[in-house]
Amino acid sequence: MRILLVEDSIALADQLVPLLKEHGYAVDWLADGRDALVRVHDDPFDLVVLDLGLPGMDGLQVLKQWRQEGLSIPVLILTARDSWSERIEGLRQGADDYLTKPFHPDELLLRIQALLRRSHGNANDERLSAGMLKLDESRQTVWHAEEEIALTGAEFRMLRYFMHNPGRLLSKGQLASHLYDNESDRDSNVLEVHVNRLRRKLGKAVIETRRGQGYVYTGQLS
Amino acid sequence: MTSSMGRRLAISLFVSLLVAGLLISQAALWWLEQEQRGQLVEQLRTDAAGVLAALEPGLDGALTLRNERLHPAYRRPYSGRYFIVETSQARWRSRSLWDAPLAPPVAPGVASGLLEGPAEQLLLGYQEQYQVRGQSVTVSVAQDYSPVRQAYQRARAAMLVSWPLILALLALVQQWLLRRGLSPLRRARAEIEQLRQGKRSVLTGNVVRELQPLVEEINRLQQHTEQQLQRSRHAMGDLGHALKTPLAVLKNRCNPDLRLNDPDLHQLMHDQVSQMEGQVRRALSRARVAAGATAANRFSPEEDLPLVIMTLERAHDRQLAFEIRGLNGATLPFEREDMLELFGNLLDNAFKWADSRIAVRFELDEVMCVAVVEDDGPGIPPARRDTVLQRGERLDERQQGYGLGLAIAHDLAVAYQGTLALQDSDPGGLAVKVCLPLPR
Repeated sequence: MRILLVEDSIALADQLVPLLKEHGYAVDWLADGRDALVRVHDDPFDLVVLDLGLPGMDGLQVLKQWRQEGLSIPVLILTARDSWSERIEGLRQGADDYLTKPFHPDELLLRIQALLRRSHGNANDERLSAGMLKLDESRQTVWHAEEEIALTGAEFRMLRYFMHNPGRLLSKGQLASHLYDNESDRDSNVLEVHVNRLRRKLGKAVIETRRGQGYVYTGQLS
Repeated sequence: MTSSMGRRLAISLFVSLLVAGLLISQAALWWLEQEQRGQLVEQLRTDAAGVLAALEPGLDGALTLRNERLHPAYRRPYSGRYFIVETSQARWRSRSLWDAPLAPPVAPGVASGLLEGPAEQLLLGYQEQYQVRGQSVTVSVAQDYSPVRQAYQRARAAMLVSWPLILALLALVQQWLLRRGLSPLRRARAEIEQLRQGKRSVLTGNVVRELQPLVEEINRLQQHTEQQLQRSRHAMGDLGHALKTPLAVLKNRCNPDLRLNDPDLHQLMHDQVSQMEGQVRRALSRARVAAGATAANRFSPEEDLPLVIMTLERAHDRQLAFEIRGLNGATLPFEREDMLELFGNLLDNAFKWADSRIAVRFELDEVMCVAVVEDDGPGIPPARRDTVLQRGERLDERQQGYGLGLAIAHDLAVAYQGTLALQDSDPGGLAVKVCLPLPR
C-alpha cells in the first residue's frame, strides 16, 4: 500500500514516515500543497494523508481540486483545525476521514487501515479477510482458521496489497508501484522472490501466476 | 419610573413659563394702572384749577362759589366727581357729594391711598392750596377710582386663569410634537434590538438626518465587532495550529520505545502533553464561542447533525442508529459554528459509549430550546457527573478526551446563558439535557 503524506512540519513528518514504513506502507512525503496537487497523478497512491495548513496551497483547496478533477483516491485529513464546522467542511470537500492533532500514532494507523479497507469495499472487521485468509495488520501476521502464520515485513506488505485486491490481475509494475516508494530499489526479481516465499508459507494456490501478465490472488489454500 | 427627556423638558418649560408669564403680566398691569392713575391725577389737577376758577370775590371781599361755572358732574349726586373748598371763612362741598361725608386729604398733593367716598366708591384724592386776594384757599378734588380698579382686578384675575390654561395647552402640543419628533429614535431602537437578536445585520439608513450619523456609527461598530471576532477567531486558530503540530510530535515521541528506555520520562511527557492538549482544546473552543454576537448563520439541526454523524461514523469506524425528533424543519437562532461544536462534542461522546443507537430530542417553546442527546451505553454514575462537567476529567484513558467534550459542551451552554445537565436515558445510558434560552 502506497501512501502520500502531505505535511509541512518536518519534525512530525520525520516521525510519521518511519512509523508508516514500519507498518508496511510505502510512503512518499511532500510539504507543499502545490506539489501535492500534481504529484498525486504521477504515482498510483492508495491513500493520501493531508495536512490543511500547508504552504503554497491550503489543503482544502488541494482536496477540492482533486475531487473536481475526478480523482477518487481516499484522503485522510490530518490537521490542527479541530472545530466541528471545519471537520464537516473537510468532509464536504471530499475527505474520507478527519483526524485532529495531536493524535495518538495508533489512532492514525487504525484510521488508515479502516479507510483502505472501506475504499476496497471490505467489511469493517478487526482483521482484513480475503479468501480463506485473515490478515492481522497490527501484528503483521496472517491467520488461516485457528493457525497464526508469521510474515516478514516484505511478505506482509505484499500479501496486504494482494488481499486488498482479491481476484484482480496485478502486473509486476503495478505491484512495485504500490509496494515501494520512489526511494526504494525496484527490482522485479525481488517481487518474484517474495511471491515464492508467500507460496511456500501459504501454499501454491494462494497466488496464481499469469505468464507475461502478472499475478492473481485467489485466497485458496491447496 | 425612569426620567423622560420629553417630560422633564416639558415640566421645566411649563414651570418657568408659568412663573415668568405671571410675573410679567402682573407687572405690566401694575405699571399700566400706575400710568392711568398718573393721568387721572393730571385730570384732578385740572379739575382743582377749574373749581378754583369758579370762586369769585364778592362785593364785601368774601369769596363765593359760582355753581354755574362748575362742571355739571359736580352737581349730579354720586356722579363720581367731588370737591371740597375750604377757606378761613367758608367751606363748600360739591352737590354731587349729597349728604355723604368725605374726609379730604390731610396734606396738599395726591392723597396717599384711596379715600372712602359715597355709595361705596373709592376715590382718588388731590389737594391744592391757593392764595386768592390774600386768602388761603384749599381745594380738594376727588374722583371715583372703583371702575378702573375693578377693571384691573378683572384683568389680573383673567390673566391668572388664562395663562396657565394657555400653557397647559402649549405643553400638550409640545408633548405631541416631541413624541412625533422622537419616533425616528424609537424606530432606530427597534432596529437595534433586531440587530442584537440577529434578525438583521445592518440598520437601515432610512431615518431623519439628525440620526443618520448615529445609525452609521452603530453600523460601523457592528462591523467592527464582527471583524474583531473574526480576527480573534483566526488568531486563535493559528495559535492552535502552531501549538498542536509540536504537541503531535511530542505525543508521537512518547512511544513504547521511550516507555521501555525511560518509564519516568515517558509518564511525565505523556501526562504533560495530555494536559497541554486539553488546555489548548478547551481554550480554543472558548475563544471560538460567538454567543451574544449576531447569529450570522442559524443552526439547522436536521441539516447539520447528519453531517456530524457521518463524520463520527468514519472517525469511530462504526454505524449506529440515529434520529432527530421534535423540530419539523425549524432552525434555531444560535450561531451555527457554536452549535456544531456543542452537539459535535455531545454526539462524539455518545458515539464512544452507545451500544447501538443515539437520539436527539428537541423541545421548542416561546422562550427556551431544550435538546436531549441520549445513548444506550453504560451512562455515568450520578456521583461522578459534577466532576465530569467541571474539570473535564477523563473517565477512561482509552476513550480519549471523554470528559473534555462534555466540559466543552457545558462551557458553550453557559456562554449561551443556558444549562447542561447529565441524566439517565430511558434505555439506561446517558442523557445530556441542554437548555438554551432563545434570544428575546
